[in-house]
Amino acid sequence: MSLASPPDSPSPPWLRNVRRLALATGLFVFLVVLVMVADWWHLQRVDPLNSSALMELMTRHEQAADDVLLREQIRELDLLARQAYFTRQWHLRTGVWLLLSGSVVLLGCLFVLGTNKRGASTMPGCPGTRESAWAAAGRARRGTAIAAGTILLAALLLGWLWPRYGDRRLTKPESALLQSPRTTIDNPFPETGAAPLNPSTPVPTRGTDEPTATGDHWPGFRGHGGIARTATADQPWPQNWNGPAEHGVRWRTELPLPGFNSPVVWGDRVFLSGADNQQRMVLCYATDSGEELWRGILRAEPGRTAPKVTADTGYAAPSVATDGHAVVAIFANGDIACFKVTGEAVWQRNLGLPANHYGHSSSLICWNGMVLVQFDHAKEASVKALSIKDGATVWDTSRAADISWASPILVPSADNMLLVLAATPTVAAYNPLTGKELWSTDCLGGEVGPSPAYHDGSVFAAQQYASVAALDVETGKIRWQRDDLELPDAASPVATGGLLFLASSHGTVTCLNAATGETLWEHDFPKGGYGSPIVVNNDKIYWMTMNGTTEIFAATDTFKPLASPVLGENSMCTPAFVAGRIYIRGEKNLYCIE
Amino acid sequence: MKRLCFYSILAILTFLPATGVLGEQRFPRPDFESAYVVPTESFPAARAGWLEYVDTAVLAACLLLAAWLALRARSRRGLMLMTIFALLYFGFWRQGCVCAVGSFQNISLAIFDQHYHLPIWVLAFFTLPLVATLFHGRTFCAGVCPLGALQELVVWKPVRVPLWLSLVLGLVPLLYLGLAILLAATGSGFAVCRFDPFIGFFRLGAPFHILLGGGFLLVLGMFIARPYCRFLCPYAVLLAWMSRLSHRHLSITPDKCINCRLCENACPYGAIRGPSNPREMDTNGNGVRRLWWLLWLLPLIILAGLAGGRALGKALAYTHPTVALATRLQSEDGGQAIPGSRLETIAFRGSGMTTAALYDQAFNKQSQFRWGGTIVGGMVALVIWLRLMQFSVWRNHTGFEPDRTMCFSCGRCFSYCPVPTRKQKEEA
Repeated sequence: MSLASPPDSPSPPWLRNVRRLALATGLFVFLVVLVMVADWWHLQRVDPLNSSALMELMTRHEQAADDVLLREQIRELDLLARQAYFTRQWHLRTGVWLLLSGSVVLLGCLFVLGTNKRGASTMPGCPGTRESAWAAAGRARRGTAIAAGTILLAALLLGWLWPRYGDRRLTKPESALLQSPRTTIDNPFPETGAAPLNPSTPVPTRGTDEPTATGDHWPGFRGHGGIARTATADQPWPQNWNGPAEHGVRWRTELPLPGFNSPVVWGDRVFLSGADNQQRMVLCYATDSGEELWRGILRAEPGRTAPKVTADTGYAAPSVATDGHAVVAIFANGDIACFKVTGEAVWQRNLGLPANHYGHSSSLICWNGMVLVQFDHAKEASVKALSIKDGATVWDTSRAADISWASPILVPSADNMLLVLAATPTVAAYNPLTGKELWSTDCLGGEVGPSPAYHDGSVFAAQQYASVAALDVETGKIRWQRDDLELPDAASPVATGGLLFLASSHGTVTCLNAATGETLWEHDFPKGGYGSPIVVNNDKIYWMTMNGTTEIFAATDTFKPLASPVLGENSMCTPAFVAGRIYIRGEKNLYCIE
Repeated sequence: MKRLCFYSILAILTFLPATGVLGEQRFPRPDFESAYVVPTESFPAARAGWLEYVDTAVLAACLLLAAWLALRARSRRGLMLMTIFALLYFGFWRQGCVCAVGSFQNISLAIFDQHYHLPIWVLAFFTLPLVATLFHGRTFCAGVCPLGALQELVVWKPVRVPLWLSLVLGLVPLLYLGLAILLAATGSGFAVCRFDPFIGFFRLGAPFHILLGGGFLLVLGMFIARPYCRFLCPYAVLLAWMSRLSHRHLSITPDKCINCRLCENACPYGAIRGPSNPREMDTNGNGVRRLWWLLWLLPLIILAGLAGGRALGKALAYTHPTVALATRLQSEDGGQAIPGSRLETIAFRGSGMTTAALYDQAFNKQSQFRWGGTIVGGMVALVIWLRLMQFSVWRNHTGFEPDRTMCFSCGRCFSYCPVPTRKQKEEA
């Protein structure tokens, strides 16, 4: 096949047959195309996704949800539309087959005809006048300039016209909800007049060495700011209790739904959450009696299925958080809900189904009228702040991180509070007012479960098969890093008095010098734990292990065991320490130890 | 300079795969609690991981073989057989996915979306043809690309498109490349795959308008050879850049050109350049003045590109699903009747997400489009300026040789050259 056109030669009979075949297949191809166009034209109106009749029936059904006859009509019409749609698909596929077959034959015939018409020679013969490349370049220059100018005008016109005259254009609503990012929300419930349970709300303040706290509250996972220490230094705490013998147990209450979240306490109320693949709820109990005060059940959204979670994470792994006015809970399906501490539902929204193969487990922090959410998942990694008042997004910062099961902590720096998050591969700090990332340091790997710890100007992060690192809270600079020791994969580290304690899921507790990373002692307990150790009165560590035994030991540079009280049932949670009482969530019961 | 460019680009393309993330099926398919049976979710069905590596190996082998056939064996017949193999393997058997032509969109998305994990074989499909072109010219187009193969086989009575028109129409793939990068990088979708005109033939099914477009291009291709490759293919822009710097390239003559002019009409793509005529050269200073003008106009052209890209980005933002959903929702809430399906808005209203949050996302996306459009517009303007410069610089040619940016290395011209090959000389 060439551009040359040699003179015609007489056609032999077989060539005439090829020509006839070409004509016949050409006609066949044309007819197939015609039928396909007609078919497409005819069935264009029965696309099940765009059937106007179906849409109309569905609109009517929204107004009369109980109309069984209407529902049946919709089903029948939907079925018909789908059948027509798939018949059309079959037609299309068959048509393409016929078209391809016909085209192959047609092209073969044309090839043979072209070859024989051209003759044996492939030489093009003497050429004619050659197009001047330089002249063509000149014309191309002018043509390119004109074309580019036209395209530019069209683009400018399109960009100018569309937002003004397009029939589908997005305009910024006047709603106050969209005035983001909001930086401060002073009073979450100004219109309700609901007073906090304790007026002395212990919001962590800036510029202090450690977050301030009172002994009456345990507002979230691992207490105030999530830094895992009791508020007071001289409070006597129980050390010897025995669950099966009811010794030291003030009360025990059976929980209606499972959950691996830890109890949260504010004043005279204990909050926690529970969920299975059917329902999700927030529970509130009286601290004195264990009596259930209320349960807030989340609204089930139609069409939403429960995500697949593993048995050791469940549907309610994140702990709730409270600020004394409201309690906020998040679940494995991305539902987040807020209830007043008195039980009235305030708002509920869905943050999107977390793409998390174990189940979402990052706990919440309530701070300054906002609830802070670490939402690191396969499809989206972000940290967000929602208004406790109405659930609106105050700020939302994307993160360069993999899935994380850790929870955020809130710690002081020289001139601000910092929200510190651990994930693979970074430990990162954010301004909790604006969501702006302040520093980010690569020091982790794998599936990060332990939350960071804070002590004396250092942030500590650890993950099994990765490393443990101490970072400067102001800059994120690594002070020391080690990977040659038994590291935790679920329990979070904790630090006090210049010592850092790591508790592994295998039962090994390691004490390191917080300033240098040097190992001071290591002890193997009979059982490991997923709950996090808590610093009590700055001189003791309480660590709940999986079989319900709390290992209590001195927070000193030599290992000194103090007690090993038993609960009588397994526990994966971190206890709450408030006013001399310890609240422990077991597998099935909530305990108050006194 | 050319050598420096060649090795720089070679180094970048060689080490590019090292930056890729090995794609893997990390999360299992969700289990529905109802009796719903999940159908085969994609068309074509996902291939087993090892088959993707086989495909990559086949691609590499085909590229090597095509280069050998075009440059060493000089076999048009061999290249045609390769074309048929590529059509059957990469086209009908692999059903055209992943193809090198659309792979730059995956790269764009991977660069701008940290959650998108780029499969290593997609990276290979993007990189290998470019590396091969950097060494041997566009041999990928000659016998490996299934889209090119389909068009190559239907060329029947090609007519010559005037060279100046071919050069002007070269703007279209450039714009298409810019738009496709913008749409992919913002997560709006892969436009090149969505509007691939021949995919419907490979998969024996596609939306009717795609089939119609593909059929039109094939009929057109009987008379204007390879219309998609020449005037639409965005990947061809990258290949042309690589080919310009290629280490070796197919030559029409196996030895020294004798200027017999027998080959000058042999190429249906108009890719053969003859000896230049020194009498045409500007001698009155017009050429120099033109270059000065172009240099002075550069900032203005770039500014115009930035403005045009930004304007286009604003309009294109409405193609993004989030912006489209927010727009539809706003219209519905405002009481406007909108044709089309309401399923998405119904699903959104049941999701528990607030409209405020959706609007926030939509406005962020619009902002991304504005900035992305601005950058793409500036880049396209720069390339257009370079093309204008290229058209304004005199180049001296002494014999008939292929234009490296336009030549598909198809080998049609071999048989037109009367200069004997070394083998023919030995036989003689």
